[in-house]
Amino acid sequence: MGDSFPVAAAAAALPAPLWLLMTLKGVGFFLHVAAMHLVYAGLPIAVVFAVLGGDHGRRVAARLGAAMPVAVAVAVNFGVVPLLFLQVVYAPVAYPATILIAWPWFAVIPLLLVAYAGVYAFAMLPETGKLGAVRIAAGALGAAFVVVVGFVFANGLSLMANGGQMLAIFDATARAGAVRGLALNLGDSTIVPRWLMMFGLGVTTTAAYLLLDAEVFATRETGDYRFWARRWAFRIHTVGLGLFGAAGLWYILGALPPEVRRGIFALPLPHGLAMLSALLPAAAWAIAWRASRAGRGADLVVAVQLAALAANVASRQWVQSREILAVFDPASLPLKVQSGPLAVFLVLVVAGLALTGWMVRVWARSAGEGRA
Amino acid sequence: MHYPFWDVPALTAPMLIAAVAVLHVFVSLYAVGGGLFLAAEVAHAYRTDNRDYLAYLKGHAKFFILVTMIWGSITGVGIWWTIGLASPLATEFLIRTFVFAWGAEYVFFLIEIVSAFLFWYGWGTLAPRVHQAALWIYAAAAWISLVIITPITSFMLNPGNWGGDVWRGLANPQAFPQIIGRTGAALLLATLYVHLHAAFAAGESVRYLVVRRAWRLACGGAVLFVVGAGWWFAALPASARAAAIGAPVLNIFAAVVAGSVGGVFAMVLVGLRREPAWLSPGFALLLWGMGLAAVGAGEFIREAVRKPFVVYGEVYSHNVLPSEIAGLRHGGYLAGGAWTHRWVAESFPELVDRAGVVRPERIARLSREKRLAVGEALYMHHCGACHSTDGYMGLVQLLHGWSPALIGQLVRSPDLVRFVMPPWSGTEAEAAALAAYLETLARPSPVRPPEASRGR
Repeated sequence: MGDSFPVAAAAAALPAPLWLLMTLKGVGFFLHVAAMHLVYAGLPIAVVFAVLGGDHGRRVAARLGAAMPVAVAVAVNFGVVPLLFLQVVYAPVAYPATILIAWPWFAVIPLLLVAYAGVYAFAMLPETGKLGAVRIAAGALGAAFVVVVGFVFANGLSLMANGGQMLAIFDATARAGAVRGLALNLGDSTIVPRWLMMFGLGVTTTAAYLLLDAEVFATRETGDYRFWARRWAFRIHTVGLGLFGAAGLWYILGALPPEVRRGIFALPLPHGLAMLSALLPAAAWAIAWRASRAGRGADLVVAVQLAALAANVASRQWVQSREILAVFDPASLPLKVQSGPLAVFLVLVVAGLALTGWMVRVWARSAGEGRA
Repeated sequence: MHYPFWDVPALTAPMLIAAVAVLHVFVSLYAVGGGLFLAAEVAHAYRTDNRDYLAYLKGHAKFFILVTMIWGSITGVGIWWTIGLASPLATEFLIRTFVFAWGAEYVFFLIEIVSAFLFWYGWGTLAPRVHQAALWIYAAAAWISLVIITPITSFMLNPGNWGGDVWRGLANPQAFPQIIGRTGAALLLATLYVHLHAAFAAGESVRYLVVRRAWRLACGGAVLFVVGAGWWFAALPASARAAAIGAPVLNIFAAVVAGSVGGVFAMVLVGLRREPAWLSPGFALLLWGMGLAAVGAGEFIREAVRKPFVVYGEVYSHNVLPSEIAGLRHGGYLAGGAWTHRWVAESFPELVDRAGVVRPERIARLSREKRLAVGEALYMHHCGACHSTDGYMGLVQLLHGWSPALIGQLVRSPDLVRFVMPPWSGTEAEAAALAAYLETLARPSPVRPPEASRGR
């Protein structure tokens, strides 16, 4: 039997042009990763500070922990958006990949439930007394589960871009033509560097947030604390950048399929995106170095960090589409544009974002007055 | 067939959907009704300048946000997760058809989240007018998200004459009854959560106030729930209604719904309204449990009557499109499925011709052991979405005492034997292989037929 990837006839047509669906997927993914990276690395960092950090460290942990419920809520809600459009465009690879690892994939739900509860416990329980230990334990459990969820995601998303690996897992695990869904995509060389890159970006994102918090939000804290927090934010940023850089080199030079790597270096768009993905985190780090000493400029650090995340997202989208193209071309799907529903959706997005923007502004103003 | 089949032993994969969906509605309905309750009551507390009540509502809001944000949001995503694993073809069809409705729902989820946090974190710092506005925005967004998602779930049961038009699909015959029923259930269940929280966390005077303020919402919700459920049942397609009436377990569940809603209605109207002191933790737990029983049983019925389709008229329960049946009967189920073809070609190369096509007619040439293995694969894909081997809807139990002739008839015409089953979707050789496998599951009848009938 040849190794052609089995793709069945489509159950329904694409509801919008491919470019639009891909754009919506990318925008949703960017909104997701901004919050997700903060949770992914921020929660473990907060727990470490709570345990080892001394007085200032415990304040950092408390302040970071207090931001986590909002960050998780945003990450979860926005996380569904790219998955929605991913399933629309890439159903023939998305469903097989997740079914082959069905139980680990399904386990994401209970793991997230526990992690989310841990986040709230860490944010709301008192820091001292008997409940203080429960708080740390809940935060640690939540952090561990978030990291595991990240690994399962990296596993599933890598698998859906690797048709050969899907077939290998199917052939190895199918019994009576069906799979039990107990496999994990461990034979894929991209998973670990990809996971580490994600964690590295999470660490730098957390560091940028900590810098912003120390400079802008923590006006009620002492000057000594704010100086201390800025210094530590920069140290964390340095560690995150190192991890991201090392894992990125490993990913591009040692793990990516050669044809995808060649595509990155040969074509202007992916080449540019890859360069931006590499340079923008370094630029954010350089600005953070100055900001951590001067006590101003954190907003620019956050802006450049967000740009770095956007470049990373765009680059990852390109690589993903290129890898999937080897087994399935979504341009081959029938198209039946749903003009009316699409227009209503876009209007609602604009109106919803306007209303959300107004609420965030009110919230920020009220928080500012509370701090004053 | 279109996708690999996920075998969940003893339970079946679709039962995971039902489990996650039931666990989700226990809280998602509270997220809708509780938002409306909190908005109305916070406005009342501000208007009457009742500081005690406002303080209590702040405590309830914390409970509300914790429960709905953690449990509600994650189990909501969980339904998504599970349908893609258990019914990928139906999910592909639904997602491509209703992607913008789902996208719109997530816009309202975002508004819910931000308004809930604005309300919670702004307590004490926001002007009362803005504070209340945040909560009304939450309540409206939560209800609108219910209004958006409900027609998609009801479409799966009864798309009506939608003809590929998304708007007509959303305005399907089950949509409005289900929106009314769910709105009622949301109001009813929210008041039971409120009673539960008040019974444990409120002082006597506030507890009495909660009861006096909530009873109308509870009784109104119960009435809406019953009206919506009745209309929903009347609008069901013939096969779904027959499935609901014909399944004893669904009859029992319907009695659970009616008994629980009626019981809560009576206990609130006749009991709590007249005597708020009855609201003890035990009584509140009883009411809450009855509310969950009603909602859970109702949700299970809704999922269970969708037979023989996952999406009525569009996708059969064994993940085959109606338009594919004729081709599969001609060319074979195993050959017609992208992933089954792969599995057969890898496991039984003797069934594959020189052109690489699986030839079902060669199954008869296989050894009995191999024929049974092919039959088991057909059982997995053709029967496994609804039946387990020896667990939920287990064929070992269901085929107990069936003769080979009866099994052969069942396999070749499942839709004629029981209308809730999809039509046979393979060749005669495949039917013989499946029947041979099912015969290995069927134990002899535990009842000896009388001598006279044997003689005949």
